[in-house]
Amino acid sequence: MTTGAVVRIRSLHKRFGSHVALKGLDLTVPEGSAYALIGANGAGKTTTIKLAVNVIAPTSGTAEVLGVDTSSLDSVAFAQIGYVSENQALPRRMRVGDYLAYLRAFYPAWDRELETSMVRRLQLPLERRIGDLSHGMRIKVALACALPYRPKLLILDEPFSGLDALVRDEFMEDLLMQAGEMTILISSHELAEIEHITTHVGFIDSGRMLLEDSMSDLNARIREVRVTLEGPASLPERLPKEWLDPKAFGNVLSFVDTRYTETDTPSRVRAIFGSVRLIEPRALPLRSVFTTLARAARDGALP
Amino acid sequence: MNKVPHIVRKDWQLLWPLGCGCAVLQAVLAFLEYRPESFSAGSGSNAAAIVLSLSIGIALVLTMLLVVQHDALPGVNQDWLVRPIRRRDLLVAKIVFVLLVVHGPIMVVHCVRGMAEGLSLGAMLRASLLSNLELALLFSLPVLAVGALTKTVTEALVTVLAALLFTLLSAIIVASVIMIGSHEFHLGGPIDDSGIDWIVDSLRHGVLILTAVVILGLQYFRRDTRRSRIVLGIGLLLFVIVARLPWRPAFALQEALSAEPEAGHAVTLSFTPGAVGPPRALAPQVADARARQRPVPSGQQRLSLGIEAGGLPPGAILHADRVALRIVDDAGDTVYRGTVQDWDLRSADGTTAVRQVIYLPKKVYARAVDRRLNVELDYSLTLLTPRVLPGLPALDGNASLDGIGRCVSRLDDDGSGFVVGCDAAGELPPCLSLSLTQGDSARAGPETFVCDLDYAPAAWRFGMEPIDRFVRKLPLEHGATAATGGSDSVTANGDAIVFRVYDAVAHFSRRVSIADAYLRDFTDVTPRP
Repeated sequence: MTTGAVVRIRSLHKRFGSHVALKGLDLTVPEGSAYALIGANGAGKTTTIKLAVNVIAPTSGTAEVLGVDTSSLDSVAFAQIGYVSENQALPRRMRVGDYLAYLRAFYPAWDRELETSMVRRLQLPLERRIGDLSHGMRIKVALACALPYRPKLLILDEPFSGLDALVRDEFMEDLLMQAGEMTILISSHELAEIEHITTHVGFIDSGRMLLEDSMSDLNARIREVRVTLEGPASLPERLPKEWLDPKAFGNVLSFVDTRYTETDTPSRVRAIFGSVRLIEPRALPLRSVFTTLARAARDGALP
Repeated sequence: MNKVPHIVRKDWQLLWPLGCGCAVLQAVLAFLEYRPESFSAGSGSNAAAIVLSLSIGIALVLTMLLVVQHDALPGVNQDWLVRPIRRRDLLVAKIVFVLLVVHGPIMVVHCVRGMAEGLSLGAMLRASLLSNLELALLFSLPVLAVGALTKTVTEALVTVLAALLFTLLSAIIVASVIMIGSHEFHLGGPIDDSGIDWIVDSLRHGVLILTAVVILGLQYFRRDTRRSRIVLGIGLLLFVIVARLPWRPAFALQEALSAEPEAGHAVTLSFTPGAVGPPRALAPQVADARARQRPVPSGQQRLSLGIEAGGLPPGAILHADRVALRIVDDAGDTVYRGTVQDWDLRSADGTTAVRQVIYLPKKVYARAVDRRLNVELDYSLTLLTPRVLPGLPALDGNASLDGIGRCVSRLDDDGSGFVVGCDAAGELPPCLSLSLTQGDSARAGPETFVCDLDYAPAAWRFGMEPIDRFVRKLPLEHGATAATGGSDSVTANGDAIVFRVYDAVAHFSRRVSIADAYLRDFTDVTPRP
């Protein structure tokens, strides 16, 4: 294992019949990070996560979690992995309380007090059968079953899907309260919800990792640049390929520079547009980064 | 730490109503089938027993499917997949659950019922263990494998129906391919319903068990449902193919397993045109069973020829398990090949005869009737020698007979004969006879046979039913001058029931060749049996 990497995936391929879901994916989740795996529907996020926890086997490539090859993940490793997914099939016929009691025995580090406090905060109905609960309540149960043993790695696969705003907030609150030294790998379309906890991001498209970076580097590197010209702005036919989503309105044109630097970008702007009144770079929210990259990926415009 | 008990407890929490329901139904069925005496009927009606048996079967299957499907193996969303639950623990827990919740109550009910019916606890424990072993291997294990291949009961039902359909179609195709050019078509294999069919049963059971074990292994340790389905298909195909095991290698194995092969060395068979034999020794028990399976010989010509047997030990029965016929013309071409009617015979002085009945398709007969032919009859034979057991008083007898079980006797309600019933923990001997012996003269009446020929080694002979039983009536005229005066005079005469167990001691083959024969000479003139 690379020092400091909790999840390390290299050249991962996965084929389902004739469909190739992953095409040589590389991914590294540093220890202690909150890694957001983002991508469009069908990009391969869930497949990557299922491979990381050995629920499915790769066609080729390697994946290590907590220093263990995923094909060899044993009960010791699983005792340090928490997992919550929108599709998680909890035992429907069991009562919430019985299921928590069942799971306790498998985790040496299970914290009863933490369990009790989570049950209270999430207002889980211990006597009700899991199958009788709403989707949101079931996700809460899954969270309550994933945190009391303070896992080293918490994997969240679309945890907010189908949850209302209140439940999302409660979920995130609980997550943040318990995060501690946990490494979090989260796949979600609700980028606004996770942005404030995300430290690293990986953008996956059509089974490939297109971009993987820390949020600080990403924020520094991907900027929306607004350029105010002396006269009416018009887009030249050819712009640098790393300038995405160019728009012009009035004297102003804007684009997303995926290789922004404080010195290089302004000089390139001036070289292309000549006299410029104002150059305003600004950091993009994660959601905008995603939509810009996704659109460019769809249109084949990614550098 | 071993988590097996923990998982078993969890499954019990979920399934205890079903498990208890199964146990209660089994107790009720045992009560309905309880017979205070061997020759008495159970207290419940047959219809109720059938409905209950069916309900128990369904409940047991449901219990086993659900216990596996609670931690389903196909699919990628089950929560347990990302928990520190060892696959081996999970599999062992499921097996332990089935042993405790499914087989435990069955054993208890077997033992209690057997003891209530007068059988010993030790004998019932052994019989129940063996019957549960068979039940576990041939019923529970396959059900667990189906459960491991599916996520819901509906999926399991569809899988079973598909498997049955696949098996049936495979059997038809395999039988059609094998029977190309033959005059006969049987869906069953060549050794079905014979004394050596235990060999095919063992092979089939082996295939079933192996398939189930491989599927469970693949599912629990690799979660490879696609490959498991392929294994299921291959297993079903093998199941069909082994049923077609040819007679010769199977009987060769049986010959090699003969307990006393030298006992058959002196036995001879020869063609004796005019020979006529006595009625079948084992008729009607065995003869009827065979006759039921034989297609009605419409469009066939019945022939018969005399066969004389010699060198038989006194009292022994010679049973022809299979008679293969081959008719060859002068040029050496085969005119007809097939199997013909089997028989059994016995002689007091070592020599006896039988009419060998042959059914030939009329077309074949018409073509060959006036041609000079060579007829070859290949006999696969079994010699059964009697072992006489200590007698049972004919009136109100009640004794444990070594090798049989607990036997009781009494005078029939209308005084016309004695009723004898025996219960065995485990299996009764495959062939035995009863006869009424007159106390004063020691004159023995004719034997009544209880036979279902099975040449499996004794240790291999066990079934799913832990108690085997039979009831027979011996009419008074069979044995005695005794009973005309009613039960008192019977007692005074000291009549007894004599049991003989017939052991299959030797299996061997003999060939009878008839050269330069004409079929018209074999036209049957004897009355049909």
